[in-house]
Amino acid sequence: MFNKMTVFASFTVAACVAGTAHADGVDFTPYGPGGVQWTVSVPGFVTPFNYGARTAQAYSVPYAAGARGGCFVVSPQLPVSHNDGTGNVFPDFYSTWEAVINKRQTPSAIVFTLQVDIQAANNGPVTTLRRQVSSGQYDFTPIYFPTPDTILYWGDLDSPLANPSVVQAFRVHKDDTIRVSVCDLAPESTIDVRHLVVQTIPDDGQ
Amino acid sequence: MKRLTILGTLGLGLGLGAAPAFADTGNLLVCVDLGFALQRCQLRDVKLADQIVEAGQPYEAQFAVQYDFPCSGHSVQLGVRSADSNKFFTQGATNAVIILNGPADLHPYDPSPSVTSALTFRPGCSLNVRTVTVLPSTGTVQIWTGQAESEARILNLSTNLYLVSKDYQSLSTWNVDKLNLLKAKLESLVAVTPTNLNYKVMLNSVNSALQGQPPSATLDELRRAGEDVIATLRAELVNEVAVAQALVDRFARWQLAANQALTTALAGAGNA
Repeated sequence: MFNKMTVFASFTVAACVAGTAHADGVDFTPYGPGGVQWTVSVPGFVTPFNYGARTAQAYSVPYAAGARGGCFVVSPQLPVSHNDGTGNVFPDFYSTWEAVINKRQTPSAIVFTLQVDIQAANNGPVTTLRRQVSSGQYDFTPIYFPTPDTILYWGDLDSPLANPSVVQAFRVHKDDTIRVSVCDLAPESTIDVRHLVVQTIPDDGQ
Repeated sequence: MKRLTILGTLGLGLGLGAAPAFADTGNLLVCVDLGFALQRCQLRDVKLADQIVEAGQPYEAQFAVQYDFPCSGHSVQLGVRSADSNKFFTQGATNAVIILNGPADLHPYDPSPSVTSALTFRPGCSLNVRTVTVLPSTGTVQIWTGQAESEARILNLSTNLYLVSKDYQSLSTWNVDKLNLLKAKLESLVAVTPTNLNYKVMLNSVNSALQGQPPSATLDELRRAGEDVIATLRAELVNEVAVAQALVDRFARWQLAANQALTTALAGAGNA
């Protein structure tokens, strides 16, 4: 008999954020020579869909049988004031996923997508990068055998900051603005988005 | 985004004495306010204090700059500059003071504006110079003391010459030092104004006295020459008194103790 698993959100508070987060939910710390690490927390999230709820620690999207389309957690536009360089974006999150799949297959569904929109200076063109986070990256367990050929898997992924598996790297240019979004949550999944982190660092240290 | 408008009151004052030359600049750091951070910051340029100029001559000042620089985020070097001298504020400090010696007007200083504009600071970051106090530097005080002592010697000499010249009718009773003192002065007067016969008459009379001989000039010639020389030396003395008084006034204006040698020399000139 299958008992639906109840997923408890992990409320691990990220420890990397120096200083006190501001009321508007965007904080930063100097990062490398001339670089910046932006950390957007719940008050700074834009949440255009009512898929979840805000808590003090995260925007929590609960289990649902259907997919949650669109970008449901979006950061403010974050400016690049330094010279050309590199950027990294990653979410700090906890997510669960479950699905019935054939015994001979490995879980590899797309659970959600991390999207980065980089807009050039003066309302210039927008470059969009998308990184899909697969259930293959989750720590999953076979729970139940609905039929002789299928398995119900349940898995979770508690992403520490800068988890390489979910980092999106890109080039940045002076006066770009960066917007980070979490999009398209798969059916039978949950996610608690705790922070969205953007690091940019100039090539020349300025 | 909104650009911060700085409405600092620029109460520029003349930097005289130890009183603050400048009070409350308002925020010198002009940034683009993103709400969650400040970027594209520029250091506003204002004259924080005037240089010290006395009688048209610039002198090195000691500027004591009291400031608040509550600011976190990126580290930035901002300071004050007077000509080639500069010193940096301590980021995060409040009610702090830096001392800078320099010969020119005092201004805010950003050695790398392009770097500053690329940095990011937390909301509320600001830089405010509360007061700037201007004093003559130690080197300037030493220079002024030297000038005062030199002027004291010149004034004493001028006083002596004037007193000696007033006694020209007793040339034959003077000692050699006194005669030589007036002789040297008369020689310089003759050299500068060779057409003035009175100077030559008096010089000849002094030379005669040095040789123990009576003057070759008549009594009337000697009287005219003597009065002319007295008038010249009186004019020189009056001029030196004015110079000396200006130096004494300068000490007083900068709240420094007057030079004793100079005040004594002035008193002596006043009695002449």
